[in-house]
Amino acid sequence: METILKTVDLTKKYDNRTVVDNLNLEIKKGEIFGLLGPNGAGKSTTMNMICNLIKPDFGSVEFMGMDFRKNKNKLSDKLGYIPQHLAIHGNLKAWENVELFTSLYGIKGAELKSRIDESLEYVGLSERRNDYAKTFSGGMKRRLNIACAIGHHPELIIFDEPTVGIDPQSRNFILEKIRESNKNGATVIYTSHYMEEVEAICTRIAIMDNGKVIASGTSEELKKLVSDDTNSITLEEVFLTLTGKKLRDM
Amino acid sequence: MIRYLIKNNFKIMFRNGINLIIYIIGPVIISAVLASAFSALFESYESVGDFKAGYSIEEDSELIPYIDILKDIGEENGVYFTEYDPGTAEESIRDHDLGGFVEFGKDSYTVYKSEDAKSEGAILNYLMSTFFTAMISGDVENIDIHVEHPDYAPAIDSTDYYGIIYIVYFGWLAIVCAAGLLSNEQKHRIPERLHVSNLSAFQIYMSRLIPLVCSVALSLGIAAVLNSVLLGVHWGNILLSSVIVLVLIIAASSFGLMLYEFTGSMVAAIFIAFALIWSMGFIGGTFESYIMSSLPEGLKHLMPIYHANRSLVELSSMGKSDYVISAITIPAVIALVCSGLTVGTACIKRRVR
Ligand SMILES: Nc1ncnc2c1ncn2[C@@H]1O[C@H](COP(=O)(O)OP(=O)(O)O)[C@@H](O)[C@H]1O
Ligand SMILES: [Mg+2]
Repeated sequence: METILKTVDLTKKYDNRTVVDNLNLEIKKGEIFGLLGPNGAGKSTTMNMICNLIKPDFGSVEFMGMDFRKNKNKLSDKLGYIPQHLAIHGNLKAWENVELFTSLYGIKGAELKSRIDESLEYVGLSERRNDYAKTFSGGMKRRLNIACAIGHHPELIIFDEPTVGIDPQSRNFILEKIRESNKNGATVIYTSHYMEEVEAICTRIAIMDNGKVIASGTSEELKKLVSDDTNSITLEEVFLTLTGKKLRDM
Repeated sequence: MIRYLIKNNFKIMFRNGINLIIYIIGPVIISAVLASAFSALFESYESVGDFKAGYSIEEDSELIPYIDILKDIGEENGVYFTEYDPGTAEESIRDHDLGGFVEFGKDSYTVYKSEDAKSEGAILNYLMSTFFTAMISGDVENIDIHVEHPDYAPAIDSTDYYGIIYIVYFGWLAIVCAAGLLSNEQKHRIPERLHVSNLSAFQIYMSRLIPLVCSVALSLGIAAVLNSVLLGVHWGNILLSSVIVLVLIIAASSFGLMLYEFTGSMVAAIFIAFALIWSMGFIGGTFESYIMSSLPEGLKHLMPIYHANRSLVELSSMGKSDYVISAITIPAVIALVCSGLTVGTACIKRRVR
């Protein structure tokens, strides 16, 4: 399969602490790639470097065969980025938020209108399109956050922990939608610290800790690393075995 | 490409109730309060009657031929000139109860004003500068025609004065109107989305500047109409006045956005803008009328707000003003410089990030 995105020795340090350490990821066209890791593993920092929001201290990102940083103009509309935080305007209505962020990719007029309808429909917010985002529940804001990043039909969509802090219904809905996007042709990078989610939707998984990938493969392959009996163990056990049981977030 | 971004940023600013209160109600209330508080001051100024002025002239002065013309013009306008010895300005004012004194040098003049007769001093100053301008530009025969009725009387009442001045002052505080948008952007890290989409630093800047200028201009436009209707404020030349106010709003907005870009903090930007603009207003006639103010003319001229204040007040009181040009060009230059610095800084920040 064709490689859509590749990180080459990607490295980032903050105050002499290496947050992302010589990272080499390769994402194939058409897959749902899961980046699994505890809080602070460096997932968001990696995604930010991929999106050119942070400059790597070392290494580069190859997107569609080109150095992304040097070819931003050509490539940026092929990427959709759903940040971990809610980057939406509370004082704009749902449809206005989508309009604002979709229009950044040069879409306008009737085309823009139909993309807004489509994006809101996609995340199930059509009926609330005229409500201010600040009146939304956490789950609805999460969905709106997604709608704002997909209206330009990107070929690669990055979801950075899109299900943090929301109810199971919204979470299932979002996972379902990610699958749907993938079926429609988009490649997906999905970061999370929830094992079940990653196991449920990802075709390939990399486990990241302390800025390094410590294991990667399909969920079956990962389980085999820990035990021969892959049916009796969960990805969670693999994860804990590999990353250790020390508390994070300290 | 940034049309929709501008539109939505405008919506965010204009939907902010606090902005509307500040920019629409604020100028009207403050104008009303100050206008009534200081109306007595302005009235006493207006009712200045005829007065005596002294002058001295050096023997070799090139201005000797004009003295008689000046005396005539003075008389027509209720200013009676008497000659005294050179170098006696201060004592002559004191001893002879003069409204002011003009000392003619070889090719220049100096006006002496007295603390006790500020208004007379202002009138004398105005008369002299009008006369001199006419003398330099016109041929000698026509001088008396030019200054036949020197419109010195800043026949402006406190309502017009403060009604106009506070539109200017709030215009200079334009950045406050962007506070809601920018702090929200920062809190929700919205610029990241703008950067991912490959918007240039210039586009991001314009997407803030344009809606900011529009919302402040619109709000102050409404405030100005309310001022006229409710308080009876007169604007002499609506078109020219609008241009002056618009340009200063653009300057103020780009200045504020520059402070924001430099400090990276909305609170800091507003604090600095407030302190600077308050000082500028203090010198330039926002609180104490620039007509009465005893601060040096040169210092006042350094304040961009003074040019706006003075041009608008003169347009209102006499339909024309020598300050129109500077009231437009100074802010235009400020806007260009600040915009350049802001976009430049944003570009550099992006490259190193
Ligand atoms: N701007 C920054 N300055 C200093 N440290 C940072 C910065 N951003 C992230 N970090 C640190 O880098 C580590 C990785 O963060 P992050 O990439 O957000 O992790 P994850 O997304 O996997 O939870 C964390 O320990 C975090 O504190
Ligand atoms: Mg993260």
